[in-house]
Amino acid sequence: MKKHREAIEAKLATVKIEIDKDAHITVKKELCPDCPTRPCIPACPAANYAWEEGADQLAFNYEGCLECGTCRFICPLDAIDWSYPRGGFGVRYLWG
Amino acid sequence: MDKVQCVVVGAGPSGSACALSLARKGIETVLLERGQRAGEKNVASFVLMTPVLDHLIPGFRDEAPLERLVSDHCLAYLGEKDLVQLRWRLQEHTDRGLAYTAYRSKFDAWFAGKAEEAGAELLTGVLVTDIIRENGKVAGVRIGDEELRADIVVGADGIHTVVGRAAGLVEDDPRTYLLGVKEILDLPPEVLEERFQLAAGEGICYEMVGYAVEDIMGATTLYTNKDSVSLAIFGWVDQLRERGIDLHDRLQRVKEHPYVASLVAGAELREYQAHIISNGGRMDFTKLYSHGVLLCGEAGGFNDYAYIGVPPGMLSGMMAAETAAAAVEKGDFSAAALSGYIPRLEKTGLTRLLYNSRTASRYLVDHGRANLPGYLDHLVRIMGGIFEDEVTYLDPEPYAFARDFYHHIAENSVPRALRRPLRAAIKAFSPLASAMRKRKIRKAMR
Repeated sequence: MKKHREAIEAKLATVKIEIDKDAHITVKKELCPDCPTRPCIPACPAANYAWEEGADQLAFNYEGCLECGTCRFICPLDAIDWSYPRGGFGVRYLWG
Repeated sequence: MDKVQCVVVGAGPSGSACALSLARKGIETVLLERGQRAGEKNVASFVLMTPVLDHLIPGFRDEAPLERLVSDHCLAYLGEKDLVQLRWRLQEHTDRGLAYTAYRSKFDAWFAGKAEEAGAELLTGVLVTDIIRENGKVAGVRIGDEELRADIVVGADGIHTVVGRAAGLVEDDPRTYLLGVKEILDLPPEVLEERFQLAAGEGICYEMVGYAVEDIMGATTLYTNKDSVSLAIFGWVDQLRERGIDLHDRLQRVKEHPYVASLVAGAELREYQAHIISNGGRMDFTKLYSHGVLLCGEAGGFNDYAYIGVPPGMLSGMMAAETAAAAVEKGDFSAAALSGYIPRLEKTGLTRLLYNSRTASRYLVDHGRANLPGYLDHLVRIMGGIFEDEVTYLDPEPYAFARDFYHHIAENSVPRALRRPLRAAIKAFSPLASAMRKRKIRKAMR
């Protein structure tokens, strides 16, 4: 799993992203420990979601978001709120 | 407070086609784009079919940022190590310059620029966060705390449409959404042309099924650009959710398939991308308009099976513009006035196209997944039919077969006296059958 994240991080380095100070993703993290499947973790193509075993909680970062919006549909508990980043911020594909 | 005649939200192909058409009609139009530059938010395994653009900008081949003229297509089935492929080359299509690959980031920026040249005001870096609703109608858009009022709002803001959702016209159905994960891989033009057996400047599009996505009914596509290939893998969003699928991992796997590996050998990653597309199933003709608002492009569900989503989007943008222009002329922006959008769409042949797409999509969703081994034959047949329709945008004559059969084979064995009445009967039957089929399509789209 760690190797997987590293592979994706190397790929994310090819993507230009204008990071906003405000997050465009919010997660009701208190629901996540009860989630049986946590499909957000494998589904996010930017590997933005991960499970912190020690803390027993979901860790996510919005900075690497590719804006596919998969997480809008993927959460079985509707705990993820995803919207577009503010105008001008977020991913800037050069070769989309 | 600012007020304009028309606000188009989203400067992708459909929004720009709409704004361009409106501006040409002399309607005051503002085109809003959330990216700093049109196209930078967009990802597609992009093949531009040209008939619609030919109509809008006849000389586009000389100025649009196109990559390669698509001369060849290939449908491949990947076994674990094996490969079955069907490659076809339609010379007449190549001669006509029917399809090109392009980068959305370049193409959309160019196309939005054409809308600007025509007189639309393009504002970038502007995210529409909500619509203004007043007395049961849409009266403009909100951009954070600011307002922009308009007689008509056209939502061309993509799969995650803010306008369509705020207006209550769009509901999500992850069963019909596909996540695509894509890599742009560098290959020098001469290596690429030799490897794919292409003439200079020509390109190929691969659709691959099987290996790496055999259990989730996904697909892999590979398109050639000037000096790179776009390799993308697609999977259904609801399956990703139910089965915890990691598409990035699948993309890595497909690159290890011996055949795919041979195609992308030595290619460096230029950019990594992801995007969701809808797969035809969202289209609902009763939910494309409401008082003061129209939806076009992906926001209206005008995408189609995989790679041919852009021209239908453009066409819907043009029809939205015609509808808006007629409303402006009458000064009536009610839902009843905007319902003229539907017959305009029907006249283009889009209805049929989307009906086919929906049929294919439903088939895949409902049956294909359950009967994976048998679906390939059907897929080939469906793809073939869809491809033909999408290329022509015309209603084919449904009983041409009967006519041809009669003229070429049966006529000589029919008694001379009966030939004329039989020919007349076949001639009369064709439009009737065509009308019945159109009626069936219209009914199914509601």
